[in-house]
Amino acid sequence: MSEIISRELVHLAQQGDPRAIQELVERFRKPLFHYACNHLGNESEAEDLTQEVLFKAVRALPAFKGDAAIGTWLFRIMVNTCIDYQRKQNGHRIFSLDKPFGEEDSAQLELKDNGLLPDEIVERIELRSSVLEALKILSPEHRTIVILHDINSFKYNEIAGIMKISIGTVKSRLFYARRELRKLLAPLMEG
Amino acid sequence: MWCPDDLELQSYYDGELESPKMTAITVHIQNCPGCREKINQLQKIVALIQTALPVTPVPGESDIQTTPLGKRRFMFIAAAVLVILMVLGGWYFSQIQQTDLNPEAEIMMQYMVLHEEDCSE
Repeated sequence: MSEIISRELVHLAQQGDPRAIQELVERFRKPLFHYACNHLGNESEAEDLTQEVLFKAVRALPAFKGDAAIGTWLFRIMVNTCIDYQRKQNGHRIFSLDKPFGEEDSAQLELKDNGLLPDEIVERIELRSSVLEALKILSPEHRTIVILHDINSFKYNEIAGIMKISIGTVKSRLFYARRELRKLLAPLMEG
Repeated sequence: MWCPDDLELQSYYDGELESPKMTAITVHIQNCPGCREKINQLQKIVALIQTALPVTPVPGESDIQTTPLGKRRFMFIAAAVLVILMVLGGWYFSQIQQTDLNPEAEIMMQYMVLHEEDCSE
């Protein structure tokens, strides 16, 4: 966890201070949005869900007891919202990353900003697409744990708090999720 | 040979073990090709995921009371002014000291004292 959010800021936001609320929203928008992108594999849905989660969170802030970190609490809302959303969708969805070139999404633009060569950008987009597809094959619980741990850098105990499961369950789900991903992505790992 | 189980190896790789256990597994891995290979496999898959989907750490939380931005800015300017004053003060006093210790001035002073003594005699 790189940035630090102070309890004071959270407290001010809970009291309805608009600047504190805005700062909290700004600090968490990007990690929440990236989580949703990785979980859903679709940027426009991720954007909508991020808005929805932030809206829900701001409304629920006065009820936040502070027994967990604010990040844990926000991600709990996001994880549950993503899982509920996907259950409603019944998995009948096509990745937006398969859309033709020219329709650049923000991830593609981020890659361009990294100073990569055009071939490398194409390669990276293909890799991203393959990993997102592989993630989508996992169960929602396994997918959630891999993203929270390997992308959002949460520790085992934080994930246990977000998902309300034991640390032992976090470890075993992460293990099985990674093993499944190794099988699914074996051709890319050899190459 | 004793080998840690898969979940222990994973916890080791993720840096989630207590220090004595970490050390024990580090030593073990050096002598166990099987466990080394398992760690390599973990490294490969995590590296692949993180290359495809860049890591987005989440802000942490602290008990530290933050100072309002305006006050922080004022404190920074005050600290900068203080540092400049200290540097200038140091330079000024070193100049005075240098003047006091200037050998030529000291010789002149001694000469004048001796000259006065000669005159009075």
